[in-house]
Amino acid sequence: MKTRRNFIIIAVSFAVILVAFAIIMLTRSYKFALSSEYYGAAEVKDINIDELQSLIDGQKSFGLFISQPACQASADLEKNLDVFLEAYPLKFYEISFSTIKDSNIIPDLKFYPSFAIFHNGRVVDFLEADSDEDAAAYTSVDGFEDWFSGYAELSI
Amino acid sequence: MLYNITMDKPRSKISKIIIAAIIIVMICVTIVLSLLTTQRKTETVSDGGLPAPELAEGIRGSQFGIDKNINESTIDRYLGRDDAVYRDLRMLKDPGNYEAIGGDSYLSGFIDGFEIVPYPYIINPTGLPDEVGESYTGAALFTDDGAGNYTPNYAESLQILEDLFPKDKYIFLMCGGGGYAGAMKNLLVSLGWDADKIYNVGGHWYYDGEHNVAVKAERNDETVYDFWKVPYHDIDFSTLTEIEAE
Repeated sequence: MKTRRNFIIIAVSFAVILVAFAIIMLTRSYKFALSSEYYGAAEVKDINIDELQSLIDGQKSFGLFISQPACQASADLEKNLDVFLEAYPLKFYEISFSTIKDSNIIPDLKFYPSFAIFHNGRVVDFLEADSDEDAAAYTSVDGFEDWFSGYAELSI
Repeated sequence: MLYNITMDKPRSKISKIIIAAIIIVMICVTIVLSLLTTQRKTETVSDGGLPAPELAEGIRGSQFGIDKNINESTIDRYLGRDDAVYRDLRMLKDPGNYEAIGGDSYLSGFIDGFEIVPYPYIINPTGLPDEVGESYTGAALFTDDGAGNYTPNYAESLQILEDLFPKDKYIFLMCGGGGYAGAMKNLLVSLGWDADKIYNVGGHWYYDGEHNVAVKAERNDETVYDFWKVPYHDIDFSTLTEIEAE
């Protein structure tokens, strides 16, 4: 009876430690630096799909603004990005939704505007316009900064 | 004493089973009740049998006012209603040069059943990205003072609005991405339309349904736009009575 109780205590303790370890691993920050050429000057550069593919093939780490010209829906996020870049001089790329939507580069991208973060040529996260969780990143500069800096260094 | 000890063991086992069974039953009841509550929420309907307007999640709802239930992915179920009008608020060609930045300034397609009423003819759009440059800045039916107050520029402005967006019908609004449609709904509600009869269906860019009408085509090695397919409501401002500014 005593041996069985001790076994249960040890097993439960081990399970708790395992769960705590899993939570720490899942929630810890995986911050990385963008490719060095993207620090030092604030810029949003238009690119086409071929240029984007080259960046991916070159395993670059960068930020990509996905907009749609002539649409008011993109305007607010663009304004927030401009303010953000005044504080943190970084170079981002911009591509139109109509260009990227039929490619397989961000398969789960459904709506614009969006912003995607690439690390070594792979998408680590992107903003989803139909997600309540991402609303703050869309609607305020601080919200975008919190989201972006959770992945990438703001300076090097 | 020995007899009492052996009798206690089965009794405690039975009571544990009973307690476990009660807990399981309570959990099941809770799950069933929560499912029933959720079902009741989604069954809220307007008088016409349509789902009541409800904002989509994220900024699609909070910023653009796109409807959660009637949007680009579900609009096919609600086309062709006699008690509704369908309005696409894009211009046939927007004045800005969007091709230079990977965009499309043309109305390259629309949903069959929707009729085009250019939003910039209702009110000049503001807040567009700087790189877009000059969009349409010509005559418009209304002016926004920046505080959400809409002033008619012509004596016929409100009548035209009532003809294009009848108050006694459901109104389905759409544009490229949902921005113009959301702004149009705000304008109509501000001028006295019933918000519960207006649906922001979202953007044609996201439409993947069965009723797309392609306007953009390739012919003779050239990109052309078959605007003759488009049911378009033009507004000839030269025939309207301009209201003198005070």
